[in-house]
Amino acid sequence: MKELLELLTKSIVDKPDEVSISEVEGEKAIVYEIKVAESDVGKVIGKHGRIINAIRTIVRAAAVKEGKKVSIELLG
Amino acid sequence: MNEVIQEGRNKEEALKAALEKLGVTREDVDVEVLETHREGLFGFIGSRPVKIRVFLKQHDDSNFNRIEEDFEDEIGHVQGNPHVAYPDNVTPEDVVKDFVTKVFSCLEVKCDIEVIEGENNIYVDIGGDDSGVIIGKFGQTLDALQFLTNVIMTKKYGNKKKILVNVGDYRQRRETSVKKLARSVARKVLKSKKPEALAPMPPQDRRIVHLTLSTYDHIATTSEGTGKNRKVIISYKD
Repeated sequence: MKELLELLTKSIVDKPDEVSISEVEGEKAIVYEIKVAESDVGKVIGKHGRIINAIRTIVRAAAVKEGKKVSIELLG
Repeated sequence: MNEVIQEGRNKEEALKAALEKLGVTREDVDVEVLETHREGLFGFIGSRPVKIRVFLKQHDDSNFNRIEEDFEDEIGHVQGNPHVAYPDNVTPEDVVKDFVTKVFSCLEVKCDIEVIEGENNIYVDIGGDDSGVIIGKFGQTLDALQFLTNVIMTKKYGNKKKILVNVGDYRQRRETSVKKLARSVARKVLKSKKPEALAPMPPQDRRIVHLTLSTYDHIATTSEGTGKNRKVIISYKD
């Protein structure tokens, strides 16, 4: 799931090398925190959060298979 | 005259009569079956003819504007700003295929991905037994994937063609059911003359509703609301 999130985020940004993702795994839920270059923050969010929401939707599809809840946060 | 409602013993007969009335050929019209034929007792008591609605294929400009608006809505007013050039001998289709393939390998789903270039669109067809996981509730996962693919291609590569992602025959099935819904609500509106709102749906589905009903006299369609809550209102016009 982390690879998927990484793939999606890196495909969107201009500076893929500055993308880092940390993972906190609980029993039922996983929290991912994405860090990107400052200039890329807007690109990952998108207008009205559309891009980050699309990313969330796709990652959740992967999470369903593992029976876990996923939340994705973007650190500015 | 844009449409006729015609009865007949079977669909072919009704269609033939309707085409004569309209003075056009089969290619110019769409046909909707309103009532299907029913065999009566002994072939006559309680039997019912076929009833069809035959209407000209046509689109007025106002509908096209709305459809355009919905299309723009979908890619989120993304401005093409190409700053990544394609490597040598790599086509946009290759980039799309590579991206979608990677997404599926991350999902650990085996599937066949075929990318076909059309005149205005790039079609991504996904097949395979487990490919259903990517559809999601009301196709929202599939729409998210399509949206992201479009954003990446438009922003990074300045791609101008619209990318359409499809799993098996999902889109076609969806189209059929949305058309059916649109027509049945339109009939209700024609009777009651009161506007009806459809449930919120993604841009593609709204587009289907606008297109399907663009041939109806006395029916107007508009979109209302923003984002996920955008929905089509079907109303009566004189």
